Amino acid sequence: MIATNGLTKVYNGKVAVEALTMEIQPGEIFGLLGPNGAGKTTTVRMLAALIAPTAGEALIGGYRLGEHDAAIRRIVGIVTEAPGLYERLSARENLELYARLYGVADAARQVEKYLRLLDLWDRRDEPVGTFSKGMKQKLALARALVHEPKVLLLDEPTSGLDPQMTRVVREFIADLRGQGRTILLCTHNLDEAERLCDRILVLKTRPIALDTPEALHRRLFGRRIVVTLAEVTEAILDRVRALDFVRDLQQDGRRLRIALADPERENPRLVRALIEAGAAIQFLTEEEHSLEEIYLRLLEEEALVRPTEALSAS
Amino acid sequence: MSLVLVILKKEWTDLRRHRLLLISMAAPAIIFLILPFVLVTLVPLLDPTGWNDRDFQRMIEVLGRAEPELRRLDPLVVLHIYIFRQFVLMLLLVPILGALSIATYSIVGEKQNRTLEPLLATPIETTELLLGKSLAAAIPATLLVWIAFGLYVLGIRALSPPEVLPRVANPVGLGLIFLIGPLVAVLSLGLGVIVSSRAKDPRTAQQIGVLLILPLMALFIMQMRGFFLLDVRWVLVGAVALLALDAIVLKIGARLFERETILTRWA
Repeated sequence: MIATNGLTKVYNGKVAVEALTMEIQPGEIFGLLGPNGAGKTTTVRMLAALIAPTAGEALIGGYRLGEHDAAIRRIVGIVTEAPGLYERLSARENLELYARLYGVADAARQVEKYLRLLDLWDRRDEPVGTFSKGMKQKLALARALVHEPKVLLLDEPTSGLDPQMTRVVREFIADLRGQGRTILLCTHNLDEAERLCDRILVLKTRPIALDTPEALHRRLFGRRIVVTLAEVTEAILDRVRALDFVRDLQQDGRRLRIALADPERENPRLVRALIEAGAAIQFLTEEEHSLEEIYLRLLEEEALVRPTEALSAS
Repeated sequence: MSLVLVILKKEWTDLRRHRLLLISMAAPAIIFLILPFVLVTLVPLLDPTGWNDRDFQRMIEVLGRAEPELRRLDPLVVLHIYIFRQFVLMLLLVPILGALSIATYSIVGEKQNRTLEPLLATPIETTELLLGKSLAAAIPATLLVWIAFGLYVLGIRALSPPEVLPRVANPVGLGLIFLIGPLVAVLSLGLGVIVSSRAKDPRTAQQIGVLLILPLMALFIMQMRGFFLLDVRWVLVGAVALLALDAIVLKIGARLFERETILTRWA
């Protein structure tokens, strides 16, 4: 649904996005993560045909960026970082304006559908200036959907919302996946990205990593088993070290962190060896890393690769 | 519905609910409608010897040269003609300030509320957006001065001697209101668009209005002091000059009104 190849944007000699190549499949929720100034908003603006790339190319819904911009705008819905609503107009008037701008045939019906869906129908005729931040964000989502776009670009859709409203918006986005829409989600909220996104791209001007959260986890941290024992003895440690499939062993009090290549196959052998060595196993789990840890590790690695830029950024 | 009309409708709905803006637009019209009537009433009462005022005598002389029949009229009638003609010129402040206020509030307001990005993400062309916003500013500003002039005419007819109205609502007066009025409204909104691209608040943007108000005030003072008298020829010359200026200013405004420029370079 979205394919970019070497997409680059330079503002006044400063590179905002460099050589972005990615493919987003129909129905996929794709997370775009990165620190402030990483080029996320610039990427969204390029994909929405709001600004032209300096180099590279992109196809959105089969339309080529720079050639079919009006067609791209018709199939894309966008939620910008700020809701950007007309505060003296009512919720209904705001949506009707956009429905007409997008050429929606039955504007009134579409407006009603989304106001009801987002629980704003009862306040449809009130000025948006009287709405809470959460209500404005829901209305911004309704505005992005009123023309039934195939592609949805969401730039920090839950930024500044309270936990309850964040959950409402997040669940709504998850529901959209079921409708087959392709969603690009820019967020600083890594928990949100982890819950919603099928794949993530970490961007810091140029792409750092692109994969599923699980695959990135494996790539960065490998797979580790955490075994909690009643007591750790040298004999137990020696026995574990002697196992040919153990790649690494770290001791943290009564806990052993053991790196394995294939835990499903190797765990039974590990457990047997531990018991044979006299260990009393209390717990055994696979070590998990949050997306936040993955993200920070990726940025640290990037800083090692590009130390000058990291220094200047700090 | 054309997208220009969609924008026009939205702008006017928004404008209708912006009471402060409506009041600030109507205020000059009300002031310049009432003030000349106050003056023609008060001047003879407060200054019975005012007929000998040097500026007034010079004006009578200039008026008399241009229109010899005025010499035969009662000085009170001439005073009415003199004051009401002067304030036709001042009524031009109504479209200038009105168009400027709407244009700057509309554009700077969109910047302040960050409404431009989702708007520009729709299939609307930037020329359609600019046209919609321009018409939304120019039409009410022009209608307002026409309505104000209509009330002015009715007031003169009701309160002044019968010789006054034909000499105020003459080709010069009508030319100023119906030809120069819309042209200065367009010039004002064009300047408003240009300056709004840089300004962070509407009041800063409106300071550009001085560029238009000063020449108008200069004309007002020169005519009041009897150094100059607007005639049909000058109105036509002014219209041609304004037409050229409008074209230049709108071209610059349209160049600034590009998607990428708006999103990346506007302050």
